[in-house]
Amino acid sequence: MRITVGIKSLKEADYFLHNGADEIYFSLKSVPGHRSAAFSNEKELLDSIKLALKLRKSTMLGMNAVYPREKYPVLLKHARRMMDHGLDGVIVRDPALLEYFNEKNFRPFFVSSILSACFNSQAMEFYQDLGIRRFTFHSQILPEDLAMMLKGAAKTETVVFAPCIFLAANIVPYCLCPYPESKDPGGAALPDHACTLRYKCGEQDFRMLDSNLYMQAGMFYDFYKMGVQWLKVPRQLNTPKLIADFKVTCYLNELLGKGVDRKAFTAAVAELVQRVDMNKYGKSYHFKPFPDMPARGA
Amino acid sequence: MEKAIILSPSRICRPGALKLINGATVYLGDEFCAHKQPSFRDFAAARELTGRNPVLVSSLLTEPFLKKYIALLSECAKKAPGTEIVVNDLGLLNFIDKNYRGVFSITLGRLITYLFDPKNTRVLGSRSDQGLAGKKMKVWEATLEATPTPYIKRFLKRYLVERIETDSERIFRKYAKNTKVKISFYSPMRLMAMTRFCPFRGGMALECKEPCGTRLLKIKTPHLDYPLFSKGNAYFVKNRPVKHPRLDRTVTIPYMSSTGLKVYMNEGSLRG
Repeated sequence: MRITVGIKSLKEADYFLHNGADEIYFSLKSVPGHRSAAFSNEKELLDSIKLALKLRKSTMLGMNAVYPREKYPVLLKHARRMMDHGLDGVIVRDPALLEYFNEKNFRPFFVSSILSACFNSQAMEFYQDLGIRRFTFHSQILPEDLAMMLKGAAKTETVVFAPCIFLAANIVPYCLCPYPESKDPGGAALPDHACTLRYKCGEQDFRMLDSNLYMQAGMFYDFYKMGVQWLKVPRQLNTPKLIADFKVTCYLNELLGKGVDRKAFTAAVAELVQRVDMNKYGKSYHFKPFPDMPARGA
Repeated sequence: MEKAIILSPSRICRPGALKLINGATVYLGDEFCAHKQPSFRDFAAARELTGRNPVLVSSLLTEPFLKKYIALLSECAKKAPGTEIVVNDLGLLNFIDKNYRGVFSITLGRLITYLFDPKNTRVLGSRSDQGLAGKKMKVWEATLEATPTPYIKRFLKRYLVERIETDSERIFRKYAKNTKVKISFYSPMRLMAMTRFCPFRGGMALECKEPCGTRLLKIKTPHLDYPLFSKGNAYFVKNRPVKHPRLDRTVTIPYMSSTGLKVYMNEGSLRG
């Protein structure tokens, strides 16, 4: 599988593009996407596109929020400018924005966001009619369901998140819980995502469920075997964690490429994820700068 | 004012169903769990019980469940055209439009109205920095992140939508102000999150005999100054009924407060 990584600086572009990423995706803070991790200036963003072009890798612009109508011309102008500089495509979630882009004859390579709530072939068709050519699928779609969805869509590109890195307990966009440390009401004091908190139901402990590592590893393997093209590493404020997520994703992807069987792969995922303890990097929404690293070639 | 109640196919077959319905319109199915989608046999049973066609409610549908729903639509189109369908999946809406346009009465469920208004629907949490602390359960009225109204109006016309549904006062007022569509309001439970990792089944279940029933678990954390409620594979908070001249249907979900239920625990691999 090819790997697409969400980035927020030229330094990150340089690191990931030189260390195995096939694609980078990003937003600009002044034209935000769904996540707050974004480039703070356009020059760095354009330089990142230039670098990707030089290395023959691709770039995607994230416009995966729902925007007010008065912002549409700004979004169009920004996306067109990026395309003029060599951008390969745009990630969109809102059908209204896709319709607007179509009306303005702006039809680049469109990618659907995980927030598009696309769970079946008919929903895919809805978005394909609006120009979507690559779909990002939610981590709660099982590989066997995805295989059925894709039977009539052979030419469609597919993206999944590496299940052992990013497997949401609840389904976006229908998780309406406040975001931790955000300006959402109640968000400022939340120590973590609501789906990760410890609850009490009467006297008993209660936690919102996700899946165990073995199920996640099995999904990872099955996505690979069925021919999913892209693995996505989501952008985040915490750069050391982003790098760790990327390294684990690359390692497991290489392992799959070597032809290990499902049982061995499952065992490898469980061992690796438990050993490296991703929690030690802290939360994805905490800003942590790029770690000091030896210069390339040193 | 019309009242409606959501019942799963298994619940409607149990004793006491008619008393529970109490003259309300039956919504047959479930908004969040695909295992509770009805067959035409269930549809016929509900019709026999109440003397009226039930309204069909869809959940978000993965491919196998969409195929089952398509079989249901096929029978309904022949034997009960005009049936109202609460659509919560864009794919189902697309399928109906391309294959049964005008055959059914289309209602956009609360999942699709949330799809268009994703962020301004969040409920007030504890220790708000928005100056609303102490006013529990008040709806956040921010105007950010709303799909433009002209698009929504075109969408309603494009898909022959007759009614929309929501549990958000903000969304309710938006449609009341800008459209002529009929509007339903859900209370006393407002959606907080949904999942396929069912707490009652301990994860994703390929088959299910509905151990959740109508059980409602009240769950609390010190980090939120209001309780959440776990029911089926969705989480809720309480909301208040809306008062508005455009409100013509209220929708409720039957529930039975429950404690002492064995709850599956999965500590997760990456969670602190």
